[in-house]
Amino acid sequence: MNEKTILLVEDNPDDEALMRRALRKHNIPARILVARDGVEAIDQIFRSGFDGSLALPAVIFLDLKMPRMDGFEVLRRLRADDRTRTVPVIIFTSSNESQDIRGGYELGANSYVRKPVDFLEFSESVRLLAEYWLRLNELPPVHGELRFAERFAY
Amino acid sequence: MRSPIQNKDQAPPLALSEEEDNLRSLVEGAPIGIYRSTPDGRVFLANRALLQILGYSSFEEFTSLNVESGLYTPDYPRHKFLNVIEQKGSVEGLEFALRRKDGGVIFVREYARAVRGPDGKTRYYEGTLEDVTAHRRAEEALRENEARWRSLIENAPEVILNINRNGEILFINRVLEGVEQGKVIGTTIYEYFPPADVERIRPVIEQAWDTGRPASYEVSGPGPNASVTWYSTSVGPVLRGKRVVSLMLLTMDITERRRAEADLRRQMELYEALVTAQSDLLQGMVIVNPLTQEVLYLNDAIVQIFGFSREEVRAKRSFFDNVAPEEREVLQDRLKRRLAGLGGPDHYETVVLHKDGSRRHVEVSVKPLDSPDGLRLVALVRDITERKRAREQIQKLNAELELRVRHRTAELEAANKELEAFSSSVSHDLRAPLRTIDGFSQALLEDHTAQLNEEGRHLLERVRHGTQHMAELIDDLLALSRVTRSELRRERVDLSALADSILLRFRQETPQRVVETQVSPNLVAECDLALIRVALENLLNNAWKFTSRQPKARIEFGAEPKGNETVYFVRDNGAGFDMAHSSKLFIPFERLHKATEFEGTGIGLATVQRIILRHGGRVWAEGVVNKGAALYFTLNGHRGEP
Repeated sequence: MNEKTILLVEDNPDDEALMRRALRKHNIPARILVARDGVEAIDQIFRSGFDGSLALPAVIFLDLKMPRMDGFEVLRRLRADDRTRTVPVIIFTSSNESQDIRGGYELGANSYVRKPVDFLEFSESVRLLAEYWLRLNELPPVHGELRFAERFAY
Repeated sequence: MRSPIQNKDQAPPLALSEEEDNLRSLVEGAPIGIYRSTPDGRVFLANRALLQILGYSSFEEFTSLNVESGLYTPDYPRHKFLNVIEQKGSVEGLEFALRRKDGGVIFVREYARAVRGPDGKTRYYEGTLEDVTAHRRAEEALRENEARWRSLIENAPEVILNINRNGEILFINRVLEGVEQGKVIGTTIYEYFPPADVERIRPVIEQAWDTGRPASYEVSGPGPNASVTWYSTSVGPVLRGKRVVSLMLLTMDITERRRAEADLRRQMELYEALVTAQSDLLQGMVIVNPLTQEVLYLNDAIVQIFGFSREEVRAKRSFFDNVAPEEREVLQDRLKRRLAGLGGPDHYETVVLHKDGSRRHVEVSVKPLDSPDGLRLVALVRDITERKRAREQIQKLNAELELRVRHRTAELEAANKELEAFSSSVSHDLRAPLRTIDGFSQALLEDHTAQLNEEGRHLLERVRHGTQHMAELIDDLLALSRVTRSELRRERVDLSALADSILLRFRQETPQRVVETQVSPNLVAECDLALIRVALENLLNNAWKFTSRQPKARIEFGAEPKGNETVYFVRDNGAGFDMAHSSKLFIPFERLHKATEFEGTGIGLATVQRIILRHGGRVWAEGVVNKGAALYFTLNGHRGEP
């Protein structure tokens, strides 16, 4: 399947609905997968495809505050595994705490977005980020260019 | 009849008779030496006594003697004897030295006469000789003795008198000042004393005479420099047998002694006063003999401290008996060291036993004292039981307090952390539903435009405004609470640059606005960067907001020195406010303008105030309705650089 996947890791169903709405509104060409918390997210990501390789999403939208396993732990695990080290991760969270922002970037997030209350603002951020990261991953994963992408992703 | 002692060759023979025999035996047997000698010194008659005196065993032996050299001595040559006898015809009691046969020198007393012939020439000498050596020696000894005593008496510093019962002076050993030596003898001692003294002295003298027992008296007299001189006189009866024949008076100047005594008495009084005073001050003092461990002296305060009476304390064998058992070894050790000359601590605390069995803590100061009777230790003792108890109480209280403070601090820190977590999670949790409200309202607007009329759309817009306003409120409240909790970290902050950057952002966010801004350059202050940024953002945001109706909006940020402070200000020419309500300005949520005029949460200035207060500064505002407003603040009185 050549369709790109966006993995949305979000425990709040309303936020999930609004995210879907935003993506749909801007016609973002991607399949949306949802994981309700960190555990589900890890499961989803590390489930292997038929040929044994991982079917990775094009970009992950990651909430931080979740039950069972929070966003930081997910990020940590993603970055710890070579297979998932370069997957783009955008943190979407309510938190504007400086330590969360710092923590996110330290752990290797690509962007950090504080979810605005205003939906219009929110959907604009979603559009910008989704388009950017999806388009980026359209480049063929040639070794050298992957390196280049890595530099961008990280 | 020839005398057996007569020399055949000498002297004419005398007619013998019975009388002569008697005389001869008288001479021969006389106890003193008798002789007859020629003018040239040859002895032709010598009795047994003479021979004995001179140590000769026979007349023949003696007569062959050369009298000049063998008999006389160099100190008493013969010619001296001859001079006298020839001149006077006799010698009477002449004492001189002679040499015995064995060479020893003796002293003799001679009575002799020159027997002269009718022509007046001496025919022979005849005389007696007595050995007075012993006598003379005794005399010499006596003379020597007398001389010695005399010298002693005459050189004695004291005045020595010899008087009789009437006080008549028979002898005085020295010259009295102001009195002619010769005039003293014969006067009475009473002449030299005032009547009051005489009355006192006379009975003493008379009693000494009558009883033969020594006595004494003291008198005073004028001394040099108008001082008083004191004398002590010893009266000693001079006895001959059992009879008093005179009195010896020995007078000593005891002024110095008296003065020393007075000094000592004064010192003793002082000492007593001091000791008593110490007792009054509850300062116990005890003097002990370190060798025998006896308590020699103790004052009243000691009695109080120990509860034992003086007698009871003294009755104890050693002062260690009053020391608490567990302390005895330490103190005994210290005492040993002190006695060994190693010294020891002069100041320490120990525990003693009160009579009632209780333990008293005492503070001891020890001072060694060299007394004529040996080493003594003076110990000042103070009961510090109460003080110690109080001290311990305080220490315990302090420890408790410290513990409580630590707990409280830990509690506060925990509370703060909780609050922090709470605030951020609250804001997080509060925002989620707002997102939902806003998001789905927008969804309604977008997806169901057809079903909504103008009014319906309007209503939804108001819903969205409401949620956004609430979101701002939450953010502002969060910021406000953070201001109080966070630690102030002062650093040099360029306020001018900060203000510039904030205003620049405003311009970027609302580019349609035309605002003239003036920021004084180089305003630097010691403050917390993050907090001051928030404060300035709020103030400038207010200015930006309230000048939005002004066609020629003007915002100024600067500073004025006032006294030793720098007063910063943000001035605008916007809507201003009524000074009557100025007290409400800094209260959270109190707004002086309708929400329709200017939006806002009403928290901004409360936040500013809190930030400024945390810096130790003051903040106040001045405003004129529709003319403008000025917000002033200081930062803890430190003068910033202009």
